[in-house]
Amino acid sequence: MTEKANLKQKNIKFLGFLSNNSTLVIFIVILLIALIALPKFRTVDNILTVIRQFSLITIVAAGQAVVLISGGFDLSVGPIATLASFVTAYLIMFQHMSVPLACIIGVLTGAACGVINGLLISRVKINPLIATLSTSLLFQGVLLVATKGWPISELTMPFTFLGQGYFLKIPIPIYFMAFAVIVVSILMSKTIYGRYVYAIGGNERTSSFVGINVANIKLVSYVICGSLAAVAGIILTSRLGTAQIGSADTWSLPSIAAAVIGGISLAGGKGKVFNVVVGAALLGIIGNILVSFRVSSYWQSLATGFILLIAVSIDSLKKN
Amino acid sequence: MNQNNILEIKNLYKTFGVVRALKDVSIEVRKGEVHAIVGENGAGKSTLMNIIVRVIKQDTGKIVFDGQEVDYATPFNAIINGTSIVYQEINLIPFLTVAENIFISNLQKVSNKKFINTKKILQESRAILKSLDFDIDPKKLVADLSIAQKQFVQIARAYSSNPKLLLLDEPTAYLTDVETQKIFNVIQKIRENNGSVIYISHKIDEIFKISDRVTVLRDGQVIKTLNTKDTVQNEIISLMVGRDLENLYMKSTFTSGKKILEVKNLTKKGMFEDISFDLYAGEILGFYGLVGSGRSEIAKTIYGLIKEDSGSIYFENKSAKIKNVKDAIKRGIIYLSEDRRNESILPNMNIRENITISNVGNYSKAGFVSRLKEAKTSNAMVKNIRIKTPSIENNIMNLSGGNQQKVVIARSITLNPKVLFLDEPTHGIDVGAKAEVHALIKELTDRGIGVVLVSSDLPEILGISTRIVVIRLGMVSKIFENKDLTEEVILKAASHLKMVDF
Repeated sequence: MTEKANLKQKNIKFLGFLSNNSTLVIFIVILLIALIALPKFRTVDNILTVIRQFSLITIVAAGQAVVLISGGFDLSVGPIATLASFVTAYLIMFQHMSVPLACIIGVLTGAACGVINGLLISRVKINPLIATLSTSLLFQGVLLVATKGWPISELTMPFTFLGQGYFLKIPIPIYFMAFAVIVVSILMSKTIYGRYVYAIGGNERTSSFVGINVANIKLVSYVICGSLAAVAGIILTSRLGTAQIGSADTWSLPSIAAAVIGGISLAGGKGKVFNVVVGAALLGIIGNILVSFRVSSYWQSLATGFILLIAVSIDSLKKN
Repeated sequence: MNQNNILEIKNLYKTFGVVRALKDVSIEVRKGEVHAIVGENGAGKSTLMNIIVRVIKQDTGKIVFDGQEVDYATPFNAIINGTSIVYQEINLIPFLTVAENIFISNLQKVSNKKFINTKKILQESRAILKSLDFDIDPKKLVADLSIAQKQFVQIARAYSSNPKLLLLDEPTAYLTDVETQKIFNVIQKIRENNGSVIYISHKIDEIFKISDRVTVLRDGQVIKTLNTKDTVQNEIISLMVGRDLENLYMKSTFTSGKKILEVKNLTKKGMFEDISFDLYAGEILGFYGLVGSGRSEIAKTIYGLIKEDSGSIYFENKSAKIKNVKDAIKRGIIYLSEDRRNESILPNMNIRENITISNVGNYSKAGFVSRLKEAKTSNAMVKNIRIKTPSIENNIMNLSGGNQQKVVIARSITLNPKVLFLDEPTHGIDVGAKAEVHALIKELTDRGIGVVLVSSDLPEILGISTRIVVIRLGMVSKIFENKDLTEEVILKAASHLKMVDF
């Protein structure tokens, strides 16, 4: 009798684990399908290539996660990434600035864009949707006016090492991804700042009642998001060897998708930053599978949307 | 099935996971009766109510309503069949008008075809509100009402469906005595029409004012059903807690101390005017006033949430300009809100995080939070004030209202307050927990903390305050020494009406 009860207990615990980590489970299932169905997939080279492909969106998603947890979101990350990449490329190509300095200024550009978003949302109190939609157009516009549409090409080493280089046989972008995700995870889960962000996402009113400076915390979250978007944009340009108008502009929604699929709640206050890797990986692998089967790229959006819907539905059904 | 009963509950069982919420519960409610149900938090009252209106379903057991066994599919079926419920929490739609909220379930009935007949809805709701003696404009948006008015609207909504059985779950939690009397009048009306009321309340004195019989629940079981006139408060309380509680309120032993807070001519347009009072270390200063009088706003201003227009605050005999909440907390001025759900609790966090949120810095080094340090303090608090929970990592929303309040109080204590504003600290809390909170307050004042107790519970304020400040319409009406003070005197000082004699 007790053996039966013990088994039942174990089953309940297992089901509980499955439901709490549904995204991870789906991910493992898809991974297994990919490994079994596509023999090409099984090489280390290919796996690293796939990881490198989704590494940039992961960096953006990590920053987006901070903003999402605070209860907001940032639709301007794409244009910020493109803008920052142009600033860096311009400084290297036309001002002959050293690569590290140019990159730093590029990231600071992203931070400055984040400040603009943050001020609009936390002080002027504009709703994040409208604010970041507007700034996304603003940042795109600024770039167009400055460049008149022209790209900055023929970027070379040492700059291109960031996007095209390897260290210990692993592509450099993957190191950046790991670094960004680990740093942001620790920031959010172990520091005072992270605690405040979760609190604000949980209940903004209560947060101000217990002495948290809600406006400042929110401002910083958008600065973090903008900075990380800039990092990703710069690496993209390094990989392509060219800064191109619109290159990263489409990143905004996928970065939110990756975060949400990774378990970050759109309502705020919930989710582990580290899991954006799972979300981004899932999207990346599905994309890779579709390409391997020679499916037209138009189906990619469909696939992304479909997975996002499933992830959000599971989250919603669990809650209710 | 007895023809005189509107409701018969037979052998109800309900279990949530491993928690047995209801065990073999059998209750009868007669037609034309006001039947009170009392019990500590976690006794099973809300579970029972929710089963009666089919928000949840019992595991086993029968429910017989007006002579027929019922098995509702949805709560709406329960309403159509003649059972209505009004909860303690406000369940109205804030951006619709009072009239629309009252008729939300049957907008079709009061309209023709597909278009909402606004005029008719306004007319009918005006009539209902008038018949219940609720002075509320049905055109107003619910969001613009005070919490007491919102409660009245909820009651009007339930009443408008002409229920044979009305369930009231802590209906007077947000109301003062004047407003509570209005609710009693409504209950009386229902009784006169041979309708029945199930009345749940922690305020035992109300039970004696309004109920015919009372059923005591403890740990999910019916302990006893008594005729109200055949019993006394102490008997009910001992049945509820299973032990004897000495002295519901113990008078404060404060004699004298140094002045820690002096407020002079504090004014905020639209909220309060020319407020002056002193607070001494070790005393409990009661703040009494009808809902809307501005008492909470005064406290919030001193706490840094609201910026005053004029006036001065002296803290520990030095002039103090309190810039914001963080500043107030640093000085040792703490405020515990009356709206627990929206202003005190972080719903996505556990007990440990809720306790430490106001001074996380103290548990941290170089910006990194030490969970070990947090756990040490939190566990000590849980033990000290007896918070019922298996662990401090338990999410705060899993706790009962009384225990949630204890967590918030634990947070305040860890901040080493010098001045503590408690806004309705025991509302919605059962007798046992209430006594514990009062004992805690007593302990704090023994340590030299000055407590301001904002409360609309007159027995509570009279029971433990050393002095009482009565606020009326945003101004200090009178400051009393709590010596030979009666409820009538305080009420008179707090009422808006110009009375010749009371």
